[in-house]
Amino acid sequence: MNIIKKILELFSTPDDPKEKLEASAKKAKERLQFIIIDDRTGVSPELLEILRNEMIKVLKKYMDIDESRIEIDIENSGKTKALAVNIPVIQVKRGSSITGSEV
Amino acid sequence: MDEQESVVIQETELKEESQNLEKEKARIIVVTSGKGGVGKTTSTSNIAVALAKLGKKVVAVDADIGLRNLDVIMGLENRVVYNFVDVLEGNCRLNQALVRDKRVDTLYLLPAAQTRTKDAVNQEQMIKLCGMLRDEFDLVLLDCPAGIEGGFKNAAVGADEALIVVTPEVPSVRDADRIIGMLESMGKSPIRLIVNRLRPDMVRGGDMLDVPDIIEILAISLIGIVPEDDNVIRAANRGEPMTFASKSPAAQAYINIARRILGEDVPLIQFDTKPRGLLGNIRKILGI
Repeated sequence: MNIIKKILELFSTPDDPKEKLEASAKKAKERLQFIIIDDRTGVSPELLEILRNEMIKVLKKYMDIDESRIEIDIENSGKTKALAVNIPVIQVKRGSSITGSEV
Repeated sequence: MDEQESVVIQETELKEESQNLEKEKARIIVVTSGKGGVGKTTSTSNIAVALAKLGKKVVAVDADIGLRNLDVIMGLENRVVYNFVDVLEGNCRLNQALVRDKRVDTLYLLPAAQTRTKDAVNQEQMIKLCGMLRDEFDLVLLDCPAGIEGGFKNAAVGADEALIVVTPEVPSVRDADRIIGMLESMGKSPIRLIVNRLRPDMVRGGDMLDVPDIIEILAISLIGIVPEDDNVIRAANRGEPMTFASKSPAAQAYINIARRILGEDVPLIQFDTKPRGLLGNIRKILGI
């Protein structure tokens, strides 16, 4: 493709600098596609709040946790997203540590 | 006796006719965009004028409380007395707040309150207002404020369908996508797209998003393409929407949109957006 591009450039009129630059509309479309995918899959603060409360409910069955210091967020790294949760544990409830099934 | 009979018959015919007309359901259409400054008010005014000229009884409602502009764009600012907030608060009757446009029969403006804020009305009140307008008009066009908050929701809540105005730019398309998502979840249908301020020369040069690209990204149907046109500014300066008289490209585009709203199958105006000449064609074939 590069060779063809080079050949086409030979035929370009010299007073048309636009030909030498990458067409910006193509760039706009690519960027939009990424932006919109990101917007559409966005996690709302409301959903994060629901997740937080549900997780606390489950974890409390097995351990004492410091609810005031819970951190929960969505982290973007390139094309992937990660749910980052940091929950300080005060102590594991007696009986939970070995079998993990007693409630 | 015969004459009397024929008069009676004519009267009943007329009655039936008017009943048939009443049966045609009024349509409430919100004109929105998300992003500001892309041509919502220009679109609302021109489409409203075009629809009225096509014989429909139309009201253009300025739903942008606190930032009213539709009256100015339509050149009716000196005739505004009351606004729709006054109607909802019982300060006046609906027909006192409606401003009749003298240039074309069957066209009315319902202004917004300028000295109030967006939370002067709630969604229930807007639904009530839309109900009142539905009884009086064939078509109600709501000029929506920019943004995705209360003002937008108030304007959209009473509408059946939506027109999304978008310009071929990244921020505008992005915001339109968010608005479309919200309108879909509100159950509006159809939701159709107006691509505004298209510059065929820039599309041809590869420096402006083309209409098929925008449709592909937003995945909604197109109702019209309005080319960039200096007459938009001239019309705004004069307070005379282009569709009153002008034969300008943008006016023609808006007239076509109005006809499509009424269900006519009007072909899209073809703009010369394809790359030109042998070199352009070779490039297009090769996709580079």
